[in-house]
Amino acid sequence: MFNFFSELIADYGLEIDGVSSFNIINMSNKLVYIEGQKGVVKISSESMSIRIKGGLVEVLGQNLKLKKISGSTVCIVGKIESIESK
Amino acid sequence: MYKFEISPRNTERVISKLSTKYTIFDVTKSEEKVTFCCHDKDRKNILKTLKFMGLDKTAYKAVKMTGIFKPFCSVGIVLGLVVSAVLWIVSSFFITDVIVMGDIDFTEQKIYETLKQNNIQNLMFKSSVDIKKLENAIESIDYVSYVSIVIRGNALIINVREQLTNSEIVNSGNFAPLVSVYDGMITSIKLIQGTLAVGVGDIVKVGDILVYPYSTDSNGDTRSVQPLADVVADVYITSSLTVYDQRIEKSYTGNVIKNYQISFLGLPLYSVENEVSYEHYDVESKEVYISDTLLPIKIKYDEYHEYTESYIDTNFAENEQIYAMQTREIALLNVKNYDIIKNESYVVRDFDGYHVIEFTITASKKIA
Repeated sequence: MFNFFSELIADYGLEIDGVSSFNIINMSNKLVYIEGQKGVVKISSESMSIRIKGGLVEVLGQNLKLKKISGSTVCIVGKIESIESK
Repeated sequence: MYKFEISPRNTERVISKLSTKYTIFDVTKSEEKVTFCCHDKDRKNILKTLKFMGLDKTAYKAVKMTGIFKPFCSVGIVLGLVVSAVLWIVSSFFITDVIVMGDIDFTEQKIYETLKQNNIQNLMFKSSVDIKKLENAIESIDYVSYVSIVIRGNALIINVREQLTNSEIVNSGNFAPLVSVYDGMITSIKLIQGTLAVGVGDIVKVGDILVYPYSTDSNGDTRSVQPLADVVADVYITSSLTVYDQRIEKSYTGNVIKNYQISFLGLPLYSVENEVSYEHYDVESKEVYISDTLLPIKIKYDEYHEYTESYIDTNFAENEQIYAMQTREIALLNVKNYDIIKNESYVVRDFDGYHVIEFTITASKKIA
């Protein structure tokens, strides 16, 4: 099956374990898609913290909403101001 | 899809736990609650998980969201509903059926001719029907005694009654004797057919026989006939009026309480019922059908008009003549235009707290 991240890793010859690490997509600061989530740490309309392997992704913004969370993926919508990976 | 509401404690832990097995949508968090949605198939398991995680029964509730709205998700159904609504609205402007009903034997042809002359046909605008004009036109047809026209739904209903002909009356079967319908003293008799039972000067009461239903020929043989005669008598037409020394007069304060109830098939859907705190009030009720063609939805309005009561002295002695004239008016209701009034008088009887006026009109009247 086609996987966007696997294709990127293959094209650029990166040595990343695409299955066990995490990936983040920001679409026009309106939608953040995180692959490889390990759980939700904080939910609020100003910030969302998502646990990932070996760290935390913090999404800051306004009117944030956890649109969908399932298995290893999470989708956050709203007015996104910053994404920090710690 | 089901929507869950849970208490905002340990939200992150709950959502994280659920997301490992189920797909969770639209998570929102406020100070009072956290809401999220899930697929129908996951509902039971999520409830079990929430219970397992120690959330007590009152801390969460599941509401099915799409059950009601699911049918409206289909574009075809929505389009169908819109088209149906438009067709229904358009059709409500038209008359699609003209129904003539009632006892009609020999005027039917003329009624249909009149309808044609007035451009009444099966498909026409309701607004183009002048009901009053049409009623007058049909009423003017010979032998039509009564016409009522209404528009119900898409139907124009014309209810017609015909007059009874003389032959129907005369030949109606066993003849009954002609009897007096008033008490009085007979002053003149004009016999048309039958055999007289009374003479001029006789005093008769209501129900007394005036003319027998037979006649005797020159051979002494009797044969049954319809008794017909003009019998005129002096009759006493009385009326009475009781006048109390005091009467209660209503004065409306202008205060109104309005309640209404919306019902469907007699079942109340919504109502506004304000408490009526007035000591004295009149109730004015009105029922309106929102639609008499599609859904029997009815609105019932009740208006409570407050009034106060005050006792007014009637001053009988001063107003005796006025009350006497009022009593006369009551008596005159039983006097026909062609009756000849011969005498009028009244007496007053006084009682404790009230007075009774008895008015008597002596009139020359046809009693049969």
